[in-house]
Amino acid sequence: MKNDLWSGLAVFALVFALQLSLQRNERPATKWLGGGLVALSAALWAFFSVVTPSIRPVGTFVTWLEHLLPIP
Amino acid sequence: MKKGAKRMEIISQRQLILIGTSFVLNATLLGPLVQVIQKGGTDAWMSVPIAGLPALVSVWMLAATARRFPDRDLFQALAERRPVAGRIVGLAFIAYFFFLLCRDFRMLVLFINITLLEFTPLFVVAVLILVCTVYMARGGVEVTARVTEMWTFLFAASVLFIPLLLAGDLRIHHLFPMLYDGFMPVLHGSWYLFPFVGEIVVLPFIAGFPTFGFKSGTRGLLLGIACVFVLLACSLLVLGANVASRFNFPAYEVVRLIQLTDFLDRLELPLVAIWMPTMIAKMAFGLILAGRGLSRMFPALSERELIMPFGSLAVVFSFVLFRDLTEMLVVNRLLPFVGLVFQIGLPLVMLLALRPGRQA
Repeated sequence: MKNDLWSGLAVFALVFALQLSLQRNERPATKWLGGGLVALSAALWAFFSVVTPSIRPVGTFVTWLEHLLPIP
Repeated sequence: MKKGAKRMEIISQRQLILIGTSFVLNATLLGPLVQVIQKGGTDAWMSVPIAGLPALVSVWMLAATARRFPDRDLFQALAERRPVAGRIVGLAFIAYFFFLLCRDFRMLVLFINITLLEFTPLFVVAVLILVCTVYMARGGVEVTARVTEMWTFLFAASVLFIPLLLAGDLRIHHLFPMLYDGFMPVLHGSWYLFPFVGEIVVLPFIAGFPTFGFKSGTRGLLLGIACVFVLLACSLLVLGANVASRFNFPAYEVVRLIQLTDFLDRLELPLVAIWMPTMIAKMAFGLILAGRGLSRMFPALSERELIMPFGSLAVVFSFVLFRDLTEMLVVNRLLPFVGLVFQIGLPLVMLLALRPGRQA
């Protein structure tokens, strides 16, 4: 993920621009939610690329869960 | 029809059956087969029909619920009957479908990276798939259902034809000794398989009664199970449990062994070319459901215009949640619990709570 930081951000910027240009003004709630989701995507991509590239949320959660439940 | 009015999207029962087959078959092929073979050993083939039983119960419960709300999908039924609790359950289902979408996305990217495009950066593959998926999903349910109808039929027919092509390589002694370690390994294999087969719960959220009913749901489920059974049985009969359990994608490996003639010795490539559109259509349904679910829960939102943002979010989550193939296998251990909630628990709750005449 780290190597793809800038290419990822470029793609999300393109998606954001497309989302705004395709957006019809009759539903402003969609505009906010759609733009917010793309911005969230870019932020998460940047965060996980730079700050914590080795974090494994699901693996960590399953390991934690194994202590609570007998997972077959 | 008035300008700007929404036209209701209509899909046929045959399309819905093949959508069900696509959901059962596609994720199963890349996901848990290797773990089912590892647990079940030579008896892994018995796990497939057993894993279908909980899914059959889910289909029955969902069909009984959907019957009470003709011409409405379950998102609409939930939001209308129980404005608060129904929306919470609907949002939970949206999160579940989105999680499955991220998993499928990552699995497809990994499969392409491992078997077809080893040196292409993962992100490039992911973006190319994203473009196809978003483009298809923006076409709506009807367009995606037509794509599924065409390609899933071809793929299912090809899969059911595979035993004939492999007839010379089938070794019946690979299935023996039968039940040497008892029945528990078979049940263990079914435990891994059932959340994948149970993905058929998606059908009543795509189309309401009478398109979705017990008969159409069961047909889709049985066709999907038959295809999974054929591929799993062929993997065991050709490779044997010991060898098959060491491959990432045993079904793909067994198809690679097919050599029709001297000039068609890589039949797996045309088969992958048939399978790929069905997988992309399955992911497109995931995007459609995320957008549709939210627009049903909150009518101020537009279904079509949420597809691209959800697509970009799915790419990020697919890379964040599932770092590599090992993590995918770890997640497969968690999925049965998620399946118990969304494929057995919530359908039962909906069956009991969404009763006719008990408006909240």
